[in-house]
This record gives sequence, structure tokens and C-alpha cells, in this order.
Amino acid sequence: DYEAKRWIDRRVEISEAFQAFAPDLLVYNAGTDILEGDPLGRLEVSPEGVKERDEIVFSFARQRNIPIVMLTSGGYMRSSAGVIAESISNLHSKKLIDLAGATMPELARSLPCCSNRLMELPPKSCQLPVDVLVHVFSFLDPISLATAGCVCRSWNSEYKDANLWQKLFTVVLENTSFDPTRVLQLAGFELGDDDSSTPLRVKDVSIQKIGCWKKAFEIAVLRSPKLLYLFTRAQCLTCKATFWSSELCLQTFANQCSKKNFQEHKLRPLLLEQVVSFVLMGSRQAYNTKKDSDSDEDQYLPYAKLWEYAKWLR
Amino acid sequence: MVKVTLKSAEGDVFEVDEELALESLMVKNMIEDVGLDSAISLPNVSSTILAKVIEYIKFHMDAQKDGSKKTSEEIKAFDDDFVNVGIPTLFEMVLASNYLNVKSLLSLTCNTVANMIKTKPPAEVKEMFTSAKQAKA
Repeated sequence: DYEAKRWIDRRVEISEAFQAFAPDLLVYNAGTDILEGDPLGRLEVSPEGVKERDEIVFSFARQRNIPIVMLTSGGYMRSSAGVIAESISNLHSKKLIDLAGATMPELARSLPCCSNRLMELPPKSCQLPVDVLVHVFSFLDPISLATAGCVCRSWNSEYKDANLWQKLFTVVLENTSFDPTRVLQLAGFELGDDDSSTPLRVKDVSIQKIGCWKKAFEIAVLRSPKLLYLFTRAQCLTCKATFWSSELCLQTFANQCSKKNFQEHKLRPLLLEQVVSFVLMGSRQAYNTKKDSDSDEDQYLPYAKLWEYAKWLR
Repeated sequence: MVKVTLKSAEGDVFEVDEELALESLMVKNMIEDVGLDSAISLPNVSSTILAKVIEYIKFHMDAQKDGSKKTSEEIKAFDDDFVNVGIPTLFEMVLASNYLNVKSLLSLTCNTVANMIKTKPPAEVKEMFTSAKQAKA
């Protein structure tokens, strides 16, 4: 009866809509995610309800002689394909549509096979929704992020998320003496008028100018490999602690240092020059905090890293 | 102390302090909209996961209170232990914290997932997540 009541409401809705205006063409979005057992729809309508619904809509269109297009919308599963076929055959038997010679068995066969294909579209390795996945990705450093992009198609499309890469520019670079807009210009992007009186900010740069933020990052890193080293160290400005880590990511910079209760402990990426002066000046008051405390030769770490950089820069 | 009644997907009822419930922005909005009289139904969260989420919020609220003797090491140990679960459970917790909008837990769980992805070749990541899915199904 709950169902019946809803159908009556629907009937009223449709007839009112027809009174309000006379359409030339009716596009009928007939989703089956309203079916009972659908993981998303939650409307719990029975197959008979779907059949009835389609009948109502089609008879309305027929009565008024309006051409109608039926789109089967969403909610396909192997189990619901039969319901759609049923409903269409019902429409045919009530002379509301003409199937132009297609026999019922044919139709019933074709529907499950196309719904099979639809089922396979979401890659099996991904079960997290898009927004969560992007959030997970924001915990990755650029190199791991690039690796994640190779995992599967849907991850690949998410990891190109413009916001993510744009933030890598803004959050990470804007805190350094690296001028992110200059980095972009060096990488060959036209950012508009070179009016130096109004300094450009990366967040104002439109997507049209860049095309793809991920690509832009790639080019920028190729041009100046030093950029990547920004993701290996950072300094907390408040407690003057320096982090050495191979996997700094967007979230590290967006959050604070390990002393979480101090909101003002913002991390800044360190430039190579700053590291050099830090080591050479021997500023002893600066102490090292590590994220991965797996080595006991902590105090030698800065020097070891420095050698590494010398090797890389050559 | 005002109590809030939360109802999981299975229909199990959890009674928690209002203060604790407000940690979830989603529940907070619900309370603002419909008030405290009726139970708040959370059809996307199973009982086991909801219990874990409540445990997490409770621990962190206690830890933040003045006079708490918990050291940051203890908190970290709790967090590590908390996310030391199988991938299916971890994913469910990610989804639940996303749905309930509990920022700290979402960060913790997402960070854990990210750490799993890090330093692994794509094929390995793929295998890890595919097998997790099969185990769940």
C-alpha cells in the first residue's frame, strides 16, 4: 500500500506536469536503481512497480501523441536486466510501443549482455569513492603519487585531479623563495600579461592556461629537478625542528608538525640553500626530529643527505 | 550529560554522550536539524565499525582533556593499533569516517592507506587491493 500510494502521487505529478505545458518530445529517464535490493537507490520498488511506472508514462505519451524516448538510466545489474526486458515486453503487449519485429527472447538476451559490460566498467581494484581516493592521494609524495597513477584506470583519472597538483604548487611552493608562477613560466607556460606590478598567485591561474596541472608539475620538475627535493625535508617555523623524510606530501604541509596541539606549527619546505647554510653554520640549536625513526645515526643524517645531494646535482 | 542515540545499519542502538557525537560533523548537522528526541539512523555504518569509531573518538577526547596522563607515545600506539586491521575493515573505516565526517579519523585512516601504497610498485598495489576486494565479497 505504501507503494501504491507513491504511484498515485506520481500519477498526479505527471498529469499536473502535462497541464502546465505541452512538450513536443518526452525524454523518459527510466532508472532501475529504484528497485528493491539496489545498493544505492533505497526506494524498494518491486519489479511490478517498475512495469506499472513505465506503463503509466507511456500511456500518457501515447494519449497525447507525444514522441517519447526511453533511457534506461542507472541501476543495472544482471538481476535487474530481466525487469527492464519484462517491462518493455509489457509495453509491447499493451500496444504502447512497437518493437519493430524484435522478438522477446532476443531483447531479453541483449539486455543482460549490455548490463554485463556495464558491470565490468568500474575497475576491480578500487572500492573507495572518488573524493576519498583523492584524500588518500593527498597523503602521497609526488613520486608515490605517480606510482599510484599506474595502478588502474580509475586511479589514473583521479590522480590527475587538477586540484591535487595545483595544491602541490600552491601549498608547497608558495612557502618558499621559489616563486611558483615563475616556475610555471620557466616551464613554458604563458600565464597572461607579464605585468609585474600585480604578482600572480597560482590559485588565480586558470586551468585553461595550464591545461593539466599534473603535466605542468612534470615539466616544472624536469626543468628544475631541485623542486623534487622540496619534498624531502621541511622545517617547522615555530619549534625550529627540521624534518627529514623521503615522503613529505601535501598533507604534511597542510598539517602541522608532530606537536599536533599547536595549530601554529606550520611546516615549511626547505630549500637546498637553506639546508647547506644550516649544516655549514652548524646551528646547534636546531635539532632533528624524524618521522621514520629506524636509524640510530640520526645526528649524521643531515650530512649524509648533503653528500647525497652533491652527488645528485653533479 | 545529554545522550545521543545512534542507530547502525543493523539497527543496533548506541547511546553516547552528546559531546562525543558532535565530533562527527554529519551527526552534528543531524542533531541541529532534527533535534535529540529521535535516534539518529546511520544506514551506511555497520555496528562493528560504528563501535570502533566511537572507541576512537572516546580515546582521543579523553586524551585531550586536562589532567590526562596519556603521553603522545601512548596516543600514537593507540592509533597504530587502531588502524592495524585488514584492508577490508580499514576501507570500511575510511568510508565510515568519510560519511560521518570525522576529520581526525579520516586523516588517520587515509594516511594508513597512503602508507600502504607508498614505495610499492603498481602491480603490487593492484594485487593488494584486488585481493582485499575478493576477501570482502
